[in-house]
Amino acid sequence: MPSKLFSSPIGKKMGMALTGLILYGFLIGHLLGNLLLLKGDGGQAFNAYAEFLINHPLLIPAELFLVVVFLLHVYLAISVTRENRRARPVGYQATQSVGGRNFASYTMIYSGIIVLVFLVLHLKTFKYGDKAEGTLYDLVSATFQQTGYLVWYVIAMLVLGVHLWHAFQSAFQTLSVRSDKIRSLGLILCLILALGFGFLPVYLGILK
Amino acid sequence: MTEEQSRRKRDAGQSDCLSFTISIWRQQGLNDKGQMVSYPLKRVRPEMSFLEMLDVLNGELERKGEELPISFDSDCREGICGMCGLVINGVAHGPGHGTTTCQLYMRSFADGSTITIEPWRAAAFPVIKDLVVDRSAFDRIIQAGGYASINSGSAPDANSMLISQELASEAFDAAACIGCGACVASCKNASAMLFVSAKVKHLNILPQGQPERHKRTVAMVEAMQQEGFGNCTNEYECEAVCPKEIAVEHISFLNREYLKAKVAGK
Repeated sequence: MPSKLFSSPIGKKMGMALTGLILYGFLIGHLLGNLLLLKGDGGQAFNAYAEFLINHPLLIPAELFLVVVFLLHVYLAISVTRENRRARPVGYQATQSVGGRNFASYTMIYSGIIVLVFLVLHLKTFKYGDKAEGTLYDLVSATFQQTGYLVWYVIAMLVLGVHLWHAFQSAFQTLSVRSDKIRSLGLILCLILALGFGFLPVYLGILK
Repeated sequence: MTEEQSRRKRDAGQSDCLSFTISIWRQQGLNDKGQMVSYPLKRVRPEMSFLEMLDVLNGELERKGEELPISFDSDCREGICGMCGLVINGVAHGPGHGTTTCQLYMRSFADGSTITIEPWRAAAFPVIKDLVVDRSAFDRIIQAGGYASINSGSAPDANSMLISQELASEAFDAAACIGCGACVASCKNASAMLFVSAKVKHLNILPQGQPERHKRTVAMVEAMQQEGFGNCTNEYECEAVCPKEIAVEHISFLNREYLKAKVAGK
């Protein structure tokens, strides 16, 4: 396949769409796993699940795959955004949306940056956090007792939801699938993910 | 204003003319920085087209003799040539739906309001003067592949190439593009994907376009990139302002065609 595919505007968009959908799939799996936090068994099921993942032989390859996909997504986002800025050096005095532009669609790069910062902190806190004094569940519970962290976490999850709202239907449009069903499904999924990930820290930090 | 209201006003000795403040982009030339300038304008009749309103404003500027008239593009003034194109109050071709700037009437604007008029904004469409932009980037994209090579030596037999009504309609929907550039102007990324997709589709789905199908797709996408248009981020603003209501489904088609052409090794 000729190399220009990946440097062309359409190739880049398809790359964005495919990497984005893979990451979307990861988020769904991650939320399903995290729902074990709600079980009310003092974290036994959650810890067992974490142990299962840590000892799984495919964990490292899967993580490497996700890292590559994520970095590619970030690289393409930066590249596309820079080209788009260059394409309109002088803006309009008056602007008005009459099509499908919304808060989510024109803030993708900013919501993306917030999610990127969140991800780095999230990995540092939990994946590479200090678990010497207890299990992962203990670490998660203790972390969400800190109000500041809890607030930042919930806000970041709402930003993630906004990012995913535009992302889902946009990815399918790029991959030539466009329908109202996809739009509705995208809205439902982004609400489930944002509210699901946002609810867990509230449950562990306040409600429990 | 309805006809009935106009008649009542006339009977009562009142004028049904409208007044506006026209805030307009003035730029002397390619390298001039340019700025917005406001002009009060009275005695605008509701049935005037937007371009006629600009003609009236230019008449006043000429009479005063203090400033040069405002330069703007227009040709057929019936919505088919694609020459006129202004961003009016932040919307390409203004508030009408499926219409060009020349098909917009002054009754669409509230009496006494300020109307902001700007040229298409894109690095690939440099402003030449006031509201006139250079859209030859579109011509170069067409030159790259927006044609079908057909032997014109002798007249072909009638009905030797059968095309279904459905296919002809689909191709015509895409061919309705007049190349005005509103899609680029309305896109926050100044992307020309709707234009290129329409041009690729109307040739790629017809039998006459088949021999050059993959070559055309790749050449036109590459030309689009070289001209410095941005990338599509699926906001569908282009579809909303397109005077010929070209749908973004064509962009999905272009994406598929491009991938097919690359797989075919073009």
